[in-house]
Amino acid sequence: MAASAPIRSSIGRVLQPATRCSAAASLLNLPLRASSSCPPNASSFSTTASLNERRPTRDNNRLRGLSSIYRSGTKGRMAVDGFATPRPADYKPKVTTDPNHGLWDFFYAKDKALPTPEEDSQHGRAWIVEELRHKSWEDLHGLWWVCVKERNRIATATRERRRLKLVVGEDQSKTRNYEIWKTMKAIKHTLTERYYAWEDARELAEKDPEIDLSGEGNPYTPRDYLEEEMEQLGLDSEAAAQQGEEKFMEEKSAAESIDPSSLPKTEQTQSSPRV
Amino acid sequence: MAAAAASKPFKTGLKQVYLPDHVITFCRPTRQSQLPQFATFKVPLHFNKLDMRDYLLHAYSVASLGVRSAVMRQPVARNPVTRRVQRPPAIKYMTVELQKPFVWPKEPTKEERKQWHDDMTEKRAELQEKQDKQMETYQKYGKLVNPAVEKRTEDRTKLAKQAKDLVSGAAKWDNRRELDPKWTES
Repeated sequence: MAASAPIRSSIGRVLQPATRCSAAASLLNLPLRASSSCPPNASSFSTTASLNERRPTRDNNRLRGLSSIYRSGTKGRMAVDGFATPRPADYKPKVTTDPNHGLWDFFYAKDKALPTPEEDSQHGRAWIVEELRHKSWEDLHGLWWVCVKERNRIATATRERRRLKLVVGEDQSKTRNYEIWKTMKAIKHTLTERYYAWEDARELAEKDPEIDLSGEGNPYTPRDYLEEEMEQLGLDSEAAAQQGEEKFMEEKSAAESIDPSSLPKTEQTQSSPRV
Repeated sequence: MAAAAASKPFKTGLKQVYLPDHVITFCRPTRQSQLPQFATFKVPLHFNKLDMRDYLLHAYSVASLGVRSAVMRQPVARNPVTRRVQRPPAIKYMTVELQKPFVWPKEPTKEERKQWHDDMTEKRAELQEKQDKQMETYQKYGKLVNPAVEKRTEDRTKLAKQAKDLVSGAAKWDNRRELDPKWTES
């Protein structure tokens, strides 16, 4: 023991500049007991893991080890720890929809998301081509847009019905959609027909000497065959027109005089006008 | 329409489409968090955001502040007709930020659902769905019941009940043996 005391002190002096006590001890292959000479307050070596949490993780992931499922809590110490943090109020603002909102056009009624099968099946037939032939472009265009919006409405209701798993109503909806599809086809048919008619008319007009397609002046200058005749006879044009009218009436009356013989007898008793 | 055109909040496109034939579906918001200021539509794949914005303004006089679009890929499925495995075409959804909020009308209550079908039909549909699910499970696992949700055996149920009673104090534990009086609790 007597020899150990000076050795201890000398080792202590040797190790004083180098503060890594344990490292020096291991270098000198001395028993660890020697390191106990370091006063506990002076040692910078620490085995506590208090700061371990702040050590950057190997992949720099700030949230490594955090889990809401395992309730690991916040990783580092936070300024708000120990204080009651404010929680958001359970408040949901009540929204009122504008009764004139444009999106209401996607629905049949404002209080219902989708129509019942009964309501869905209340519809007429589609427009047919013969009816549409008499309509103007504005009418046809308006009808097309009515169809487009109706199809959107049906698609919205169908999606909602499938979502709600309503079994009945698919057929009614399909039938309704089919009628609209037929109307749209008829509109296209009518317009195509009209286009073909216009094409033919143009072809005719190009050959017609009375029609001027150059776009300057009067496009149509009728050449009445009577005019040439009148000029030859030296008569007034008005008188000629009158004459022509009389002739026309005569022809008509003549036609009427022939017809009754071929008419059935019931025609005479019929008083109400035909509609 | 004229009023909306007068107060056009943005510059619209110049191309005039006279006879559009695409179908646009208004979708009920599935997420609870979707605000009434947003509206989701299912649109054709060729639709773009500007198309959507102009379409809503011209056809429905609905002014929008912004459009977000998403193309949802569909899962691979077997064609019911040809039995071939194929992927159905993707679906495009567009979420429009509205100038005026819009809340969807309420869905039919259980009482109102009877306007579509009676209870019998509903039960039949439920049963059918259950059987379909069972069939799917069988094809996947070779069992009629998914092992993950397999029903507990009777033993396990009894054991769980006993444990619950013991914890709540309804039953007292006893091993039917006389204990030394110095070990008994006061």
